[in-house]
Amino acid sequence: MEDEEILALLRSRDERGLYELENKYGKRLAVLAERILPAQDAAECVNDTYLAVWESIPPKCPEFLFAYTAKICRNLAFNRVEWNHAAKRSAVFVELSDELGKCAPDVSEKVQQQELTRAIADFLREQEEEKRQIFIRRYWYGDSVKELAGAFGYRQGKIKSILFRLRKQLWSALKKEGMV
Amino acid sequence: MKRRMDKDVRGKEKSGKWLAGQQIMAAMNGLDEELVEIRPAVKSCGDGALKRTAARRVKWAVAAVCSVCLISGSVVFAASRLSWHIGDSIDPHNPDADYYWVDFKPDQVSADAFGEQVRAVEAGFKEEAKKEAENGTPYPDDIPRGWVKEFATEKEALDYIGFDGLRETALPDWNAWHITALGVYGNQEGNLTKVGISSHYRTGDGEKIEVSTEAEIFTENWCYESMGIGKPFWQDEQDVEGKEYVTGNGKTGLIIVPEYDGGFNYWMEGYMIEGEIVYTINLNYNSKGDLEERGLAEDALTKVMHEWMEQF
Repeated sequence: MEDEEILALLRSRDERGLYELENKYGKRLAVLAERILPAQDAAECVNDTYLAVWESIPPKCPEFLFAYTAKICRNLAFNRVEWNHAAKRSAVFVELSDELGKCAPDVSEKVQQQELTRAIADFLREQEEEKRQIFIRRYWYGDSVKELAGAFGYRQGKIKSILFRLRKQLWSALKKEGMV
Repeated sequence: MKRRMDKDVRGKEKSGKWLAGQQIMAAMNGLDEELVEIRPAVKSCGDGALKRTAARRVKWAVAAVCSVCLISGSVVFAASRLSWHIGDSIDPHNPDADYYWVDFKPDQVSADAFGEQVRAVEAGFKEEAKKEAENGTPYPDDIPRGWVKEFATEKEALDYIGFDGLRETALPDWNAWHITALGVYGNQEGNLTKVGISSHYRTGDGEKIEVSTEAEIFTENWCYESMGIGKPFWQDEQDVEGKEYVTGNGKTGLIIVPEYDGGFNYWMEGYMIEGEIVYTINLNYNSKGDLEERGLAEDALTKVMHEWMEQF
């Protein structure tokens, strides 16, 4: 079923919308959550995501249904990470945090999260579409370098190289704004 | 936030770099959807018409390739108004997922072909559109308006739709186990674009077979380049195959079947086009997953599928 039809069902308060949403995106959401949380927590997180989607559409009418749903899922997963502490983080989450941290050795404590979000958004908007996608897929969706190489038709070395340069550019952008 | 993260990593001897990475990861939660959406921006597909997503553009690009060659063992029934193909690496979110696409080519109909009650729904859409225009808050042009009504039986829904030729496809030994739902869809201007009904039944020994049927009718206002449906599957778990089935009346249907070593539920899908109507059936056999039962499931579903198609 197309996203537009799922949205139409949700907007008309038809529970089939949730069923179709799960049918279409359930596996991807589970993968996303499991890259942040252990499996049990991830499953609960995905269920909470469906509830949040049901409660928010309507009135919301997202332009990008998967991104909207994935964003809820990622936020819920991060909330659980904070609650459950280190023992409840996935290995992928630690790996990504470590890798991404290489671009910014220390973020100033005075920096508010919203400011940091805005600076990252500005940085991403300046990037070419392909590079933005590679960055987002690695650090937002948690895709592996191997998966990215397959998806973009590059060797893994090239993907690593692109990610390295993007991290350096992000560090420069944050430094310019006095955030590191 | 920072203090909470400090507490998180206390005793783990994590570096400041790791912490900074976590801060950046957390801050990325607030990124706008358009930034985290993998698909490129939407593109107009016609004057005042609905827009197609880039994902669908990719889909049709692959479909075009498939019309002249085979991809991943797919088969195209060129002479039919139904075709299918497998597209790999088509999903930018998850390269592990493959999709099988079933493409329809039914005739599109005038909105006048529907009964008064569906036309009344369209009139409601147009009224909404008029008010939205007056208020300066137009409805999104890439999301169809939706209206849903439930019925106790498929026949009641058909009477309500009032479309000549649309018929009940449930077989006599099927037992309804869920409501029949009618969906009426419109575009930004409120014009009728599609009408569809879905019904659900159970049948077979112990009612192990779940049956979902759909009938869809597309109007002239439907402006997507074509019609069809795409479903994900994972080739490391299963593969799918499309088979042509010719009925005793000489009509050609398309059956999609899974091919895999194991699994819990055996399923099968069938598609038939009759004039302007696309009929779809989805069969699921709830088994324990053992190979012996799977063989039974395949036979049972094939029998139901053929009986369903033979009525056209």
